[in-house]
Amino acid sequence: MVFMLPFLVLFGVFRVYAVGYAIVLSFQDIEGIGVTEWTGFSNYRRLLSDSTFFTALRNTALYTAGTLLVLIPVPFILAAVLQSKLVVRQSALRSAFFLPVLTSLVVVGVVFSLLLTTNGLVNSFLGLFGVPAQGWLETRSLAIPAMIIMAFWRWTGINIIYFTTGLSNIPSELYESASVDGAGPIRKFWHLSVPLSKPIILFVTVLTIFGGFQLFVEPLILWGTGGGPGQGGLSVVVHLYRTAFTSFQLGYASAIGVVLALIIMSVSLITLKLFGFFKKE
Amino acid sequence: MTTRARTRLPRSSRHRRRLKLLLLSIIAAGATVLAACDSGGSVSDLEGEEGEENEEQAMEVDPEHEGEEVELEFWTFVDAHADFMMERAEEFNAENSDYNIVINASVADYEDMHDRLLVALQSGAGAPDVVDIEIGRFGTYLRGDVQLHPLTDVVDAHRDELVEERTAPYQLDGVDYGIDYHLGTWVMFYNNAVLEEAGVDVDEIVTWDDYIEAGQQVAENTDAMMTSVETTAPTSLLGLMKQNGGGIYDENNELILDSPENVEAVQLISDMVHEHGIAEAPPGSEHHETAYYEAFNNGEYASVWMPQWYMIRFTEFMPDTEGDMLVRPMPEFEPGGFISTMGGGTGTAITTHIDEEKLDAAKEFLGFAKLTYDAQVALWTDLGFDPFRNDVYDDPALTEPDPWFGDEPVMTNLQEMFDRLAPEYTGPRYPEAIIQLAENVAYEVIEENADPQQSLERGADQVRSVDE
Amino acid sequence: MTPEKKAQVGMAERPEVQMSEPPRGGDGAWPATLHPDGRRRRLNGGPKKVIATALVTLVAILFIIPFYWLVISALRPSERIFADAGNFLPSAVTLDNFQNLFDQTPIVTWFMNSVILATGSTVGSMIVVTMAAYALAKIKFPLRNTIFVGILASQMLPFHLLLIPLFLLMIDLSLIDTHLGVIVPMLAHPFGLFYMRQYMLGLPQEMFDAARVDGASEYRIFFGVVVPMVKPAMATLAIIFSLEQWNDLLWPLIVMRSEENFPLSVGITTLVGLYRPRWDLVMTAAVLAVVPIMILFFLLRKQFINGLGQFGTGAK
Repeated sequence: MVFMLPFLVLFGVFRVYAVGYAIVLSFQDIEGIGVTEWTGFSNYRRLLSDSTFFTALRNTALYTAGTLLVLIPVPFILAAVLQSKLVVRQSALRSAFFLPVLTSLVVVGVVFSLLLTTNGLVNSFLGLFGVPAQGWLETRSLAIPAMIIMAFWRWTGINIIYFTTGLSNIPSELYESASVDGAGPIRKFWHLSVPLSKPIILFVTVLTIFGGFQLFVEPLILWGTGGGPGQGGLSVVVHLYRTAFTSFQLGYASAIGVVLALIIMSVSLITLKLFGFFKKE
Repeated sequence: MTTRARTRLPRSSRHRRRLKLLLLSIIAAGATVLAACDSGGSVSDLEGEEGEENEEQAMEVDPEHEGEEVELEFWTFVDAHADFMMERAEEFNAENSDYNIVINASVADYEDMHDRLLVALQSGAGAPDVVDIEIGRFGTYLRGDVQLHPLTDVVDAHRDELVEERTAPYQLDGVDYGIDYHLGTWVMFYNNAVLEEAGVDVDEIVTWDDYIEAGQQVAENTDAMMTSVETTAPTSLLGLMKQNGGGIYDENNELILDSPENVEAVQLISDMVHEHGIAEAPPGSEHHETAYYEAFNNGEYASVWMPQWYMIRFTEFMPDTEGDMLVRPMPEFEPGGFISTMGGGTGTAITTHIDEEKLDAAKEFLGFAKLTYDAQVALWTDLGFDPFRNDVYDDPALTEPDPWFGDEPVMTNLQEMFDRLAPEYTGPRYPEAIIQLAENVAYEVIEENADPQQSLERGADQVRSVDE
Repeated sequence: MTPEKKAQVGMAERPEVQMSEPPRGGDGAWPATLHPDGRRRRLNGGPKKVIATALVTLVAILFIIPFYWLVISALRPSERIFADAGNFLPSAVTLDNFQNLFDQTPIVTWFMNSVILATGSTVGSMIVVTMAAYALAKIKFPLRNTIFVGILASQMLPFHLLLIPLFLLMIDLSLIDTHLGVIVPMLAHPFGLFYMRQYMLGLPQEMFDAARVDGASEYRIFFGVVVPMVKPAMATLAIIFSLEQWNDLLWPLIVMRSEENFPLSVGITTLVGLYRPRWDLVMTAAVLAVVPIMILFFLLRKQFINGLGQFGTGAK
């Protein structure tokens, strides 16, 4: 038990106590310096009429959905292709995908504010396919896609690693016998790789939901104050952060945090339910 | 979990792995020692030389000076302000035998510095002695128990000479808490080369109607656009709103974001963009973006309205505009009405966390550095800012014609507007209102042709809901 | 999701234990036409192989380009960084930006701070986590499983909920603007605990029993038997903890206030200033932030990739 002690103390103070503290704060009004007042549910009531919060929530949900759309299928296919014997120099290629994972989000933001400028590389690249130059960082509707492009670059590598770990758990005999029966690579992919990877896909999905809803650094680096054009890049956490440190309303900001936690938990639970996680296997 | 690749690892590579592990643990062990040395202090204890490099922004102490050495920790988010304050400190020390001021300046990013200041004031530790607070954030620090020292007596010593409107934004209940760096008179910058090509005589533009007409001529006769309006910053909108007698707060501390004056001003901007086709969003959506500097430099815009402090952007970032730029008053809404107002601003304040014994020295220095005749001349000569002390406008340094700007005495012309300045008031939710203007109203009206009145009302509702 | 459930799924994948598991979660989804017979057969090579390799390589190149861009931008004269943002080759190359970075910013101090924070939190977390994992995996005590499950469940809460209480706590503990303030709240790392516990469960129980029979104290067992055995797992944790700390922005941004205490991540954001972002300095500082991690990666590539793979999937 003594071995548990350091962990439990640290965990107790900085997690359990802190969560409780946050919940208490969310029922208070802490405004200006040294002014505290109990206000019951008024922070939560205010949240319901805070259209900025709903803008931020919509943006964050869209971003999360977008990252799910690109960050599950693409890394999975890449992992499968890299795993198959169709590709030579697999480990070098895997490293190439993996390098962005090592890069801090600050650096990612810095590089992408350069890549996404109007005369930047992303537009030059799209120009090759006849797509006109876009104001990625200046258009409300493009703020989320711009961040999804960043997320795609940043997280594909780690998801490839997760999927590879999952895929390598599938006994190779299954593939071999499938080949004997004349199944092509695509058939094997659909009928073996995908269904047998369900647990790992579920895991990556939940992780992506977690990451998506906690969006913070990207908008902060791309658009100084974090809101972006027409608040198209504003995320819930940026709104929380600004409420706390620009408006200095720590109580209201805590209420945003509590609601965000509830949202993340419900979305994760719904996802797990949809995947049939709670069914007895 | 075991990946297949892993089980096939040859012996030698397992061995290599063990070596690497050893390497890792050595690094880790070294780190423990480092971490142990680090009892929460600064890293500079660990490596002296780098620590010194960090002090680069601090002044050298003059050992000859007989006065009491007073070190002032100064935070700012503008490099040039740090240089400016250090130079004033040197002058101060040369004239003053009581105190020997040493400025220890630290320059940080805008957001960070303001957030960090709030944290420092709240936590009661680590706050600077003297700090630059941007006008948009000043209101935040005037909430609750104000953690800034009253500077009324410092301002009083010079008040008769000052442009009164510039002290208002930093006051609460008649007490001064901050001193600005400039007046920030709003003006219209014209690229006369473009206007001449379009056949427009700049001095014929008196009212906004004239301006729109000239803009249409520019659109017809040249490839350039008359002007641009920022879509992710509040500046362009705020200038016209205040010029029209609107703004964020009125003198009674009431939020007036959706006042008729503001609606009229934003409607005018909307019309310029959507009806008359003489204005658009700038490249990069702000007037401080490299892409915009390039476009203006290439003659793609005939004019831009910005506060006076924007002048140095032309000389620094738009070299091809030399000799072509003209500084003129804003077109007027009505004859004899407000012609200009003040844009932007940064109030230098003294925090209550300063040592008591340093306070007198800090106040005396601040008055010297920001409000004396010489200091106000230096605002122009060192920083290129328009001073807010009336008597310095007769100084030779300010009456000199400027070849970059049509060989005109720009500052002398500027002073003629001072009796037609619209005042500016700030209030507790000024920061939130600025965010609404920058992120919602400007974008919606310019890019999405939203109705100015509705957009301003939505923004105002948002700001009011903060305190509900 | 019940955390027990989480734990069970994770437990199935124990590190370092050689096993070939039966397929899970298949729900009988593979068609009847496929039945195992264990015969080896080579896949078609030739053109398919070339095309697949070429395609994947192309995508991989897209992933490398931003790094190339970072480096090339750092080498461009500062006024060309944005002007040439779409040009593949620099019109001129200079090291001035690096010179300026060293002259105008306390970059060495920032770098050292990053090193201190990363190593401090790594070493601290490893000690705390390994001890706790040992207790959870090998010592029986009341409420053991409840505690474990509770710790895991806490992972569902977003960190930002804790931001404000932790900030106020740091103020009360006078840890604002200190290295300890950045490190200490993050030491109790639930994912790390989970990973280490699973790893230890995979170790043969006989070893511990033998030591106990010899009458060794739990401390002797821990330092003499456990620590040497879990070194590979500690290496994985070291990589993960140091990477997390090195790249973290939000928490140090809130805790650290004086310039001389910033880590690199915070330092870089200060260079993206309001009126005049110093992109030349930003780019060069970003290069310096990336390079050490890259060097470490290429030295320890297998540990990185396997470690992160195991860590993530082990913790599901």
